[in-house]
Amino acid sequence: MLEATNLTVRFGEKIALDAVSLTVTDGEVLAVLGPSGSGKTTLLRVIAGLQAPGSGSLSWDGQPLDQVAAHERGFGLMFQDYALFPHRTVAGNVAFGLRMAGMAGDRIEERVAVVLDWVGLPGYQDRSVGNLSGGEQQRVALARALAPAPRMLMLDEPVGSLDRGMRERLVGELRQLFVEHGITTLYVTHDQEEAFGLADRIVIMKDGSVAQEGTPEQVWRQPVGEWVARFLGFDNIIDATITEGVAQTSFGRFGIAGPASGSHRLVIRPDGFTVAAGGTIQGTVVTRSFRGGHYQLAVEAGPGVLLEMEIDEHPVPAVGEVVTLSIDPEAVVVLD
Amino acid sequence: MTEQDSPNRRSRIARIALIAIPLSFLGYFFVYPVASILGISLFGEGGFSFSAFSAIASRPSLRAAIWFTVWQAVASTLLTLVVAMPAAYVFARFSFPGKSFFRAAITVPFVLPTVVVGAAYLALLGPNGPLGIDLRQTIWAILIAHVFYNYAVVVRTVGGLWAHLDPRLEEAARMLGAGRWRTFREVSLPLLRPAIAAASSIVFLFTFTSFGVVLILGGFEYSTIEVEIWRQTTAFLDLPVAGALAVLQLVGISSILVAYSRYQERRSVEQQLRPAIEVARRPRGRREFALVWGVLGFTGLFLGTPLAVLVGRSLRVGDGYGFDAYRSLGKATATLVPPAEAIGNSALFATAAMAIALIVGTMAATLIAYHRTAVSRWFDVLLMLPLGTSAVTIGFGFLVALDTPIDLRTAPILVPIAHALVAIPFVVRTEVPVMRSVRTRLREAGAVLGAPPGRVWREIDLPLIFRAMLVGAGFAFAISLGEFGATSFIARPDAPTLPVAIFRLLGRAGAANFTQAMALSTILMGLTAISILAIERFRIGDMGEF
Repeated sequence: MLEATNLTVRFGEKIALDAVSLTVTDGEVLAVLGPSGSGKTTLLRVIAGLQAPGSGSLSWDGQPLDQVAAHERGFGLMFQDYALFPHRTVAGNVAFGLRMAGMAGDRIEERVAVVLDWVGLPGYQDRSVGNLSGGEQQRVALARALAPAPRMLMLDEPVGSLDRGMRERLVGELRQLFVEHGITTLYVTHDQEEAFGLADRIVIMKDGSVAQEGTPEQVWRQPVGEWVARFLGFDNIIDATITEGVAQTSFGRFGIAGPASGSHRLVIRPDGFTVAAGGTIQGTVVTRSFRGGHYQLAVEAGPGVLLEMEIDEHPVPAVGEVVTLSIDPEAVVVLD
Repeated sequence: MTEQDSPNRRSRIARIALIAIPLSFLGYFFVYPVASILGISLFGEGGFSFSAFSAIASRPSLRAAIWFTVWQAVASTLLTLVVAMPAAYVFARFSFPGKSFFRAAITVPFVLPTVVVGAAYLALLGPNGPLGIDLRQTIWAILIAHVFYNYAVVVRTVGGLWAHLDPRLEEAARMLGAGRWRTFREVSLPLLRPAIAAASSIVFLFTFTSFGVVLILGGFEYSTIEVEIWRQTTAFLDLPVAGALAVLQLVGISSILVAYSRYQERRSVEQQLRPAIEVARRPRGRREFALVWGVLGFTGLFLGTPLAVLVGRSLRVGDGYGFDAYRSLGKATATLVPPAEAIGNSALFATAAMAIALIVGTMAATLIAYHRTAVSRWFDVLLMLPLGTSAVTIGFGFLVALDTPIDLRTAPILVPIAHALVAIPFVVRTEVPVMRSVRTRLREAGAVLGAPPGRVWREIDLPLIFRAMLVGAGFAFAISLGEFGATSFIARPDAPTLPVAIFRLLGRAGAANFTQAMALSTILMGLTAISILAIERFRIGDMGEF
């Protein structure tokens, strides 16, 4: 189990990490999610031992790591740009960590073959890394990090530079690989879909500190503040006065779950709306776009109040149409 | 934590060695001699005085030498830029059959020993030259030889940047209504300015410290500061004046280097550079064909003729041709060792110089590339100084300084050490960019995969920089083969190098000696060309800064 306590890193005046604490338990896939510049990569480099923290401590199963050099930590790291050795073949890259560990030649060969099989590149041993496609390079980098059976695998935006279709397929394969082999994983990304799809637990980072921590479900259901809500793509953030389970807003009243009362900011998740005759909210459809499984609508519910919603039942109202909406109380999140 | 301590201590010791060895080498063989020169110029006649400097001011011949040094360098630089610019363009923008061969071929003059260039122009523009004009001891012979020598600097430096300029910028200017000339003046030229400044400062420095060419072609009529230092030392034994001249020259060189680095800092326009392969294309239409082949034809004629004449003269026997001069190289004359011995001496010295330059240079490059501290930045500057300092100053400095603590002045190892000093900046400049281009990520990947620092260097850095080391070694070998300025001070009379032997032969009367000089020059040219071709084979793309 990895334990990080109050890790702080400064680059001159700028604070890259501000007292970050987190744990990764054995066999768990933890995703660190945050926009660029939030300190994710720095956190990874500190844990890997490539960057010394200004203060704070790191330990593995209770043993302090602070005096252990990067090459002695036994962690695997897959770099964002892969960092494949250009002067070595695929097998040469994958075998590198095994040779460093002093494994015998024939056992290295076996292990390389096994790991290349895992990542879906059987028989690629003698290829030169310069001639591989982006997706293949990604897989070689993954195989190289996996080969020495690291006690924890860390991945820095591993699918960031691939196209969308490839990305979705690989995220699924990665999840399967981690679970199947029980690999303790720390996964850094700026893409919430990736994090939701992969992780057992998510840590959301903002400006060098942890903004929220929880299972994907918890984070999605109950973002802790306006910033996290917006970062997760929830744009319906409104002021309301709550009395006895009913929220009063500038554009109407609707029921909410939970015991809150008084003045609050609310988030209404876009999947919480239904077009229904008995609804309490009225508005005019401003834009409508087809998104595959559902329609994305923007409804003007009052002066300056634009609600974003996903509607999947038919008939879908057209632009300019006046609609009556009801809101699922479970889809309303009370902030603060 | 003991497991931690030992590699840390090892790497600390390695770092100290990395600093100490190159630093003491440069300290003893460069800083100390130069300081001694300063000392002799100020304290030469007992007490402290500026008399050596006032002697320079009062002697018209010395004043003339200083003035000539400056204006011929300016003229040579401008002339080289104008003459070589079309070739820079053609090499940058067009692809044509045999391009890489042509590019290698035009580099040959740049690396030719000054003595060979002097000898070739003596054969071409001398009294019995094929053109029938005698330009000996005129400024024209010197200027033409300087252009010949530095042609490749402009083509490679300016053309190197030009090859990466996005042609769409020029196309955009054309679409906005600018004609070809306007486009060149208002778009290409300003973008090329950093490369033009770099090429100009290199050419200016080389011609400012021109020694062999001026010594051979200028006669008593023209001399640079460099030639005067040599003359004051060897002919008049006036060490204080020679020292003062060397100090003045150092001041001049340093101010050029400072001005240039200021300029570089002030204007580094961020440019979107494109791979050369995307920029170059085949010539289209008659105009472009005429341009490309016209420029290539001129280049071939301009660079090829002197060398062809040199080879031709080496084969002249009376009115016919033959190998008599080559055969006679093995025979000793009354005052000289057999000229052929110089070949063996040169090969031996060049091998030793190559080894020294490679070891010291690689250590220094490692320090500069990997340990980015204030110390390594100063070190970078210190290392470049021998390049700016003239070879004659280095030789002169050895002569006045290296008698203490032990008298090294007649030790044979001194010659390769001097050559290594001249070659080290080249080795460093070739290796540092390649070392820096080894991405930090790769080293980090190695570390994360369990490789300790020394293993990372051996497994990741070394294979990637190995070719650069070979190129650096080739440069060092070629430089040592042709080095003349420093060698002319410290080579022992019984162990001359090839350039020294050629210079001695040229100084002797008689057609036989002249033909022998041409034959030795031809051999030296061949050896140099072979080492340069070897470098080209190992060079990857435009690797390195030279």
